[in-house]
Amino acid sequence: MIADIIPGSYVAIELANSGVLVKSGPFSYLLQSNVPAIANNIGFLYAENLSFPLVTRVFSDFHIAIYPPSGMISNMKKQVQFYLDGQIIFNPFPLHHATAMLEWGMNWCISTQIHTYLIIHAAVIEKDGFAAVLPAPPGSGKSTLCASLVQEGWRLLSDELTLINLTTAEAVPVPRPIGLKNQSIDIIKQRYPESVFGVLSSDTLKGSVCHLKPPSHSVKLQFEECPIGWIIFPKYEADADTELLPKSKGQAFMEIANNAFNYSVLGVEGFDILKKVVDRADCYSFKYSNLDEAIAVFEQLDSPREI
Amino acid sequence: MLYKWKRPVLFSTWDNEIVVYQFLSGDTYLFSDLSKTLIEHCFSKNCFDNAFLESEILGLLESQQHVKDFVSALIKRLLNADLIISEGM
Repeated sequence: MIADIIPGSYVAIELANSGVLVKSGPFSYLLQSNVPAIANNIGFLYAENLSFPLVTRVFSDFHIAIYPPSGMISNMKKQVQFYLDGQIIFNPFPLHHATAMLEWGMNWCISTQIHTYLIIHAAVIEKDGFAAVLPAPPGSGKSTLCASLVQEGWRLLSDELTLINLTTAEAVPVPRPIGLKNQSIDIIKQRYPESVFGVLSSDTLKGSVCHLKPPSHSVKLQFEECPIGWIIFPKYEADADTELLPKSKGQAFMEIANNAFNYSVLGVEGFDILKKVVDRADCYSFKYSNLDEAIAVFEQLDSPREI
Repeated sequence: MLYKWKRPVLFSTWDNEIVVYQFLSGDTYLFSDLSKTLIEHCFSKNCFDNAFLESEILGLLESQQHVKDFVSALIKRLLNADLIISEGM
């Protein structure tokens, strides 16, 4: 049996010594830190994808460590530093942002280091065997919508990074916690009181940030890729009527290419795979202000044409 | 002036749109409606000129001047995107 939550005190001991190994889809992260909030967050959010390797020389795709930087000033300022494979990656950041920085850093590792997939800045969820990709810039209500749909039974493949298999053009799951900001945190907590949240990071550059644990069902299916049936560009607009409109494939192609981290790195391969994805999917733009109505629209999506 | 495609380029078409990929720069361009029609016409040609393109859309715009301006703007866009080169270059 796998525990729903592992006590932070237990995680803390391993995290400060050999580290803990977090697996998510095709990637594994070896994490080390002496920050208690990180131990708590990992215990809350990653209990089902966590192992304790007992030795640090275990294979991982990314070896991440978060520790206070050396030097008295940084210690007095209560700062911590993000290390990837022993290298400092970002400027020191406040200790109370550590949990948010860990999640952002884990995304950064994939989006900058991995080119064996086409990677799009988009949420991706699945229902009845087809994935819906939701590409959107920050502030579009993508994560709030994604969190709600996932709580309503959609499978989470990713809240932030849509990975596309360069051979099959299918979506590859990386079901990690969903990052929610500011009002969205309370909206989801009130709508879904059973949902499990990690530690709150306040006053970050993006405001207050808190991560929502992905459902067990999504984690269990983390190795099952999924054909992409819909590409939907969501936009939250206060007081807007709910509106799902067909979007032309050419426009969809260009917007996805612009939202991709490595489209230009992949060159011809990127063009070919994106063409295949857009060919197969139904494309829409989607405006909403009311989450109940938004959920209803997704529940009523027509089955995509045969893929 | 004669123009020809700076091959290779890749393209994908849907309804009234065409997306063209420039191999060397890795840039992607979207053309729609009349531009798409014209690009498809001249893809099959080794080289083409303004007169050929104008003849393909003659009568589809308000006046002959509009046709000339449209073709001229499209040629300029294709040149800027490095998708075509003029024969003399």
